[in-house]
Amino acid sequence: MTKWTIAADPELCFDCKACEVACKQEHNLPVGPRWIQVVTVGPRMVGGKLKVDFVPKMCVHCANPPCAEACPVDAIQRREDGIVLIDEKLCNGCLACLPACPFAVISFDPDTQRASKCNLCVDRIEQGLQPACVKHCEAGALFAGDANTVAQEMRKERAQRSGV
Amino acid sequence: MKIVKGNCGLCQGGCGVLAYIEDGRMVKVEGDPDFPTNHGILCPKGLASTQLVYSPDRLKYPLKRLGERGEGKWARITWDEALDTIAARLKEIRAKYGPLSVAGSCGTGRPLIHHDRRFLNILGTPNRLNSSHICYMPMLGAGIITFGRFPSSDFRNTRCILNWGSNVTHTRRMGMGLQLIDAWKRGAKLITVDPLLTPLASKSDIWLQLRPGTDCALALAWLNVIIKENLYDQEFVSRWTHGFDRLAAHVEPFTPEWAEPITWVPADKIRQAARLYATTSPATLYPGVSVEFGPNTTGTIRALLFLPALTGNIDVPGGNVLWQDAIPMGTLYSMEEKPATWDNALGDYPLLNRMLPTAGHAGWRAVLTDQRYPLKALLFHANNAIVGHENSQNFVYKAIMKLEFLSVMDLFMTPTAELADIVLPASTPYERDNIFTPNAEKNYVPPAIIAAPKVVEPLWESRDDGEVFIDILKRLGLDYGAETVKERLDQLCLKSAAGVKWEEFAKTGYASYPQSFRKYESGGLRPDGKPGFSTPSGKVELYSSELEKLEIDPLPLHKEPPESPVSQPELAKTYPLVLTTGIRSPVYYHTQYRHIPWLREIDPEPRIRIHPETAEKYGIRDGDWTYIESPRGKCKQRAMVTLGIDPRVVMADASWWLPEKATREERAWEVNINNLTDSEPPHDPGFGSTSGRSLLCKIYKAKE
Repeated sequence: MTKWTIAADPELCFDCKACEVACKQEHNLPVGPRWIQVVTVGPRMVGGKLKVDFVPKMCVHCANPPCAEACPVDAIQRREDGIVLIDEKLCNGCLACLPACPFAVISFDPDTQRASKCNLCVDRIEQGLQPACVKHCEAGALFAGDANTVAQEMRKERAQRSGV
Repeated sequence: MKIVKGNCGLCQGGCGVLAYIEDGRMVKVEGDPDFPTNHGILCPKGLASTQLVYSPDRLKYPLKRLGERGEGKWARITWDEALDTIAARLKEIRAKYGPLSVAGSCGTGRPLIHHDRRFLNILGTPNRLNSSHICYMPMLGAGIITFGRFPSSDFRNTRCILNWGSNVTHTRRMGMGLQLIDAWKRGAKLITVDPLLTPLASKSDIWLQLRPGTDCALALAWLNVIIKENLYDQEFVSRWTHGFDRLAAHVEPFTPEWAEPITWVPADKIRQAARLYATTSPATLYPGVSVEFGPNTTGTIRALLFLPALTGNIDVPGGNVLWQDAIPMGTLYSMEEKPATWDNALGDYPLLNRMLPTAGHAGWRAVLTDQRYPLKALLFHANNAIVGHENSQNFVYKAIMKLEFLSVMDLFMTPTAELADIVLPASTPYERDNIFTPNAEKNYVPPAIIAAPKVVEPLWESRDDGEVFIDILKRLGLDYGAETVKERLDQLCLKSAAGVKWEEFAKTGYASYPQSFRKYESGGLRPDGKPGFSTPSGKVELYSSELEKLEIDPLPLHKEPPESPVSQPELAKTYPLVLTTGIRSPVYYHTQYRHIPWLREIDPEPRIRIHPETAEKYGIRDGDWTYIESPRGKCKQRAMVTLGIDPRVVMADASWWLPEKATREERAWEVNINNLTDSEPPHDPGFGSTSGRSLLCKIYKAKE
């Protein structure tokens, strides 16, 4: 069975922000929750050269999600297919999951008063579609799928650029 | 729910979208995977389309001014009253001062330039107050003088990209950003020339961080290296260029060592970059809009265009290609029906005057001074000049306040619309039938014509500008030459690569002519069908006889920016930093979209890039509101302290206004960098280009 994951290669990201708006639109999110966000690291000096990275950050759907462990009402579950979901009906908005997440990718939705995060576009995936952010990435810097496939694709993209 | 094919009109690109329609309402847009330019991808602006169309802030009904101009008191009126009023005022002003006293303009020109230009022709005025003198016309015109056409970048087949002053992965432009990224991912070398460490600069093999406004000096040094080191294509040069020996002698003194103190780029780095470009084949030059600024655009752009000419990268796959437009520019802009009044265009800029004649600043100057003839009424469509034009507070604003009549048609109550007598609500691109015409002259590849059909009905009382032009002319007893917008679109489509009427074309929605390479050998470039280029010599004009006749330097020369630490050392004591202003956000298009919540969340405030040493010197920390002040005015932006800029330079966000603010002062002026830019001479002698990107300023911390 596919174990879903989503990953980004910052070397390929040009910081265009399409992923962020694609996500907002797909999930009709208000201002506030940002399920995916491109974070700029740098510019800083690395080996005598200025380097800047654009790092798309989103829920990575951990194998053993610390957010689920931290949730006092068991509102966060990892499904058999690897997708970690927050059950809005169970969530009481206590925020315990926010600091538990090592990647700081859980938001608070001011409209629903619940924790809110990437659901890997589970509805799209079930229809055989890519997540909205992956579909609209201008540089192909985002990858979603089974972890093995994602790893292979990422290697392939990198190899192409470096001419290996 | 149904899914219909449409096109995004949030920039000029016209990318294909799938619009999800539920009960007549567009609830979602996605990139259309079958569309040939964007292949299912869409940029953040396009992805926020529903928030534009259904923005509660949109203009909904025609309004007329009550009280003083700009006081903000309005009465809702009917379309009939609005159009009757406009027609009556135009009649009165035309009778009193003549037809040249009326002018118009649209902003970026999309999606209505083909209406706007013709409308003005019929009104009998050549004057269109926009920014062609710093956007599009210098590039196009310099291309025509040198090659007969503009040579566009062919990223799809290239092995080396020279990205000179562009941030195309942010601005996108008709899939060109996607094409560049594909080439880069294939392993094409990338060289970026930019004062700022942009995302593209950060991914480049070589980044040349030049002093703003010294592009021509840098390009001359490249030419020096390429000629001196015999890196040029001797066969192409001897057969197909005119004036090579003169150029070679001309650039002899312009060594990288000469250029280093001018451009601040180390000489060895100039050599390294020029060698990489000249020895990688094919290579393509992609110049951005930044080289269209300043009093030396003719020379600067020509010097850049000599790079593909000398290296034999002209009209070859992966080089710079002389594509055939999908619709002749003369047809699109109604230049073929050019009325006699074109010779009366305001502003004496011979290269601009022959195309889209007026520089915006020449029009504003005419309003203020009545030079040549009075200019009393303006009809603005999608033009936010108060934010978008240079020297806005002390020049544009004063001129607008002096007008006898101003009507503005737009999507929102902009700081420009606030000053109008009549305000008209425009429909969005999704609510009207139209064409997009991304053309070769501005580097859209391949040049195409796109049918963009309406996908939802216009909201409220919003309308298509084209209909409004037709209605105004009817009231004046003038004939637009088409009864309806569709009829006008039919006329244009029939004269284009589409070759059929609009409805028929809309079924496929995309057309371009078959393209070929090395047309200078086969005879595909000249009207007489002979081999060669469509220039006076029939060759690439390195030395331009046309410019010589116009008394413009026939060979490019470096000219120090008129306001710089070098040209004005005294002024630099008060204003010690070099100011450049061009930064574009990937989520905005010029002055647009600050209303859209999904976009504004990403880029909430204007920012000025400051080097850490400079920030420390002036006591500014990252995130501080910072005043930027030039001899013309000031504004404030948030400090973004970054190593990506030279300590002697600051770089400000372009095109900001704050629609949510309560007072006009805050909305229009507080963050408007065009308060600081310059409208006054020296201008480029050919195109009237102004200095917006290499000025002097001082900075200081603002109280919150």
